Amino acid sequence: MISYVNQRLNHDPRIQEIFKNHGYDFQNLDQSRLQFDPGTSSVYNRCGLNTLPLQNGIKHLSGFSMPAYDERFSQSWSEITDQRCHELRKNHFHKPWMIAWSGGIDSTTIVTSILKNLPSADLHNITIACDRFSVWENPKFFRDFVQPNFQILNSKSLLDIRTLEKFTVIDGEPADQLFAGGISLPMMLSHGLDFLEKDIVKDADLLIDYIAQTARKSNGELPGKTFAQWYYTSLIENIRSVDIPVNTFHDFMWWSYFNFSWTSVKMRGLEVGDFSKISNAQIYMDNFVHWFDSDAYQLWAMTNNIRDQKYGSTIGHHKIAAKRYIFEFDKNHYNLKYKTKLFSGNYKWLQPNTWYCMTDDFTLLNLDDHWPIIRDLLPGHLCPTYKHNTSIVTP
Amino acid sequence: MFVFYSPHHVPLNKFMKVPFDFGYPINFGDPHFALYQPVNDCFMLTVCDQSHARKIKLLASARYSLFVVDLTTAENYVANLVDNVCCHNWTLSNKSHIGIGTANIPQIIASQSLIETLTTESNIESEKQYLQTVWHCIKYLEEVELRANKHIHDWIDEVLDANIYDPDYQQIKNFMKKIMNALYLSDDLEHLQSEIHQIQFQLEKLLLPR
Repeated sequence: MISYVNQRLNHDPRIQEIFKNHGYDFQNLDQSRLQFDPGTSSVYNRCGLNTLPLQNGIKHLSGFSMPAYDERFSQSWSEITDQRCHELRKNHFHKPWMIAWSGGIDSTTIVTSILKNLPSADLHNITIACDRFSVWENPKFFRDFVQPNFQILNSKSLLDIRTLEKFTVIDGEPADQLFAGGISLPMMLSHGLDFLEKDIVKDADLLIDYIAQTARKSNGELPGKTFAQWYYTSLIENIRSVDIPVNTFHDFMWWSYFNFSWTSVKMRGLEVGDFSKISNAQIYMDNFVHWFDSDAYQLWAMTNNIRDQKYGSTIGHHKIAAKRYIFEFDKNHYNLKYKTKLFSGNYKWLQPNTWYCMTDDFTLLNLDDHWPIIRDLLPGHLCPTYKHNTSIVTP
Repeated sequence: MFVFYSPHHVPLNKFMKVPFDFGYPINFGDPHFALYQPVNDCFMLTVCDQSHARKIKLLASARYSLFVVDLTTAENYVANLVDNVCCHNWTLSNKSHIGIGTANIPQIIASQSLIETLTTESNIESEKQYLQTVWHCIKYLEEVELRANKHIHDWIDEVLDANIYDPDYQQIKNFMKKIMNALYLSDDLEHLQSEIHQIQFQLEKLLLPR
């Protein structure tokens, strides 16, 4: 069975033909994929009623699943981050670590946690992969903490099979999915904090207008209100089917990231690295560790959709819990106050002749070599609860 | 020996503790740019030279992101509306076009309209002083480049394999790099200015006509 599709390659006419033959609207899928975030290759539902066109075949796997909501969860960001370091030290230190450091808030949290929690002898087993842009993004942290403590490798073209054989690669995903990524920031900047805290049901029209004006089609055009209405309604139906509080525009943006793009962000390394020679993704699943992918981080994200944890009165408060964690270590007031999200991913996506989908034993199939298998299996991956033409849910 | 002094040259002994330039164009139709800081949501500095704006943006980038805004495209623009006395009380209307994730792209944002705002940030004055210091040093270093005949050194390096090492020029370059490094990575304005004074003193000795 197909468990995951690299939806960026859905433009292939053969795939579109299958969608069309089964009455599935490709446009909604494509535009959902591009919803606010061109860095996301695919959209897959993880929890609740699946209103998207495809079924998520890997949501049950460790690292891809969503833990049950627990309103009593009370661990702080700092406690979870310290704990995550010890947990990874215990379970993944049999191979040297390679930390992908972009200089941004997420990967700087990782390096901070390592320096804070591991003895200096352990640092010999850790390499930092970065480039000149990483240094540019956080020059003082590089000078004061990265350069004196770690071996450094240029990260250009490092993500390949040899790297995974030699290292456990650790990156700063899926932190954006915990915090609503870069999608709540433009909303905050253009409409202010009050807008971010508006009610998703009472102020539905405002939110639909915002989606219609903000999301972009792959050709850069605005998708218009029809798509915005479909997207809003689909997400509201999904939200109503779960017992997780999603009330404000901020929460709506967060949930769309947390529920719909978590899966593909976890698969992104496989889509941007040089893995053309592998036919099975098992080595990637075993050796690529996403620091922020843990049940504790997810539970924190579900219970902290509040000011002063994820956002605040200025865009400098975005990811403030993580920024405070770093500040307690590096004492950089400027980063605490001013550092905002930069899109560190300047991704070079796979070309159409590389893998299109993954089966449930992690076999990777490509459109040219495995077309007959894909043609037979893809209809089984379509989601029966998808409604491409939903009407607006009225309050 | 001919030594070039630009009309706006500030002599070394007049290097003020807090250099100040009003940053508005003298002639009608001249360029006018502002450096916008999205967290403070205001302009932090105005300058009349695009290359200066870009250099200031880079040098201040270890502290915060700045976006270069063309003020002259605003519907309500007049040359003396926004200067460095009051720029922190102004913002632009079309800030939703400013990509948070694109601080590394050297784009110029065309302002649509200039809007008055009330900035209550306590550190705004010291940051404005820092940016004035950065700007002042950029102008000073440009002048040093002229006095050290950088264009001749560059030309020989680019065109010929002359292989003639010039220790004085190398020292001048090292001092210039030290100034840039201090501007880029220093957190403390007073310490920064004193450090730059010391470097300048040594640099000026090298630049004296012999």
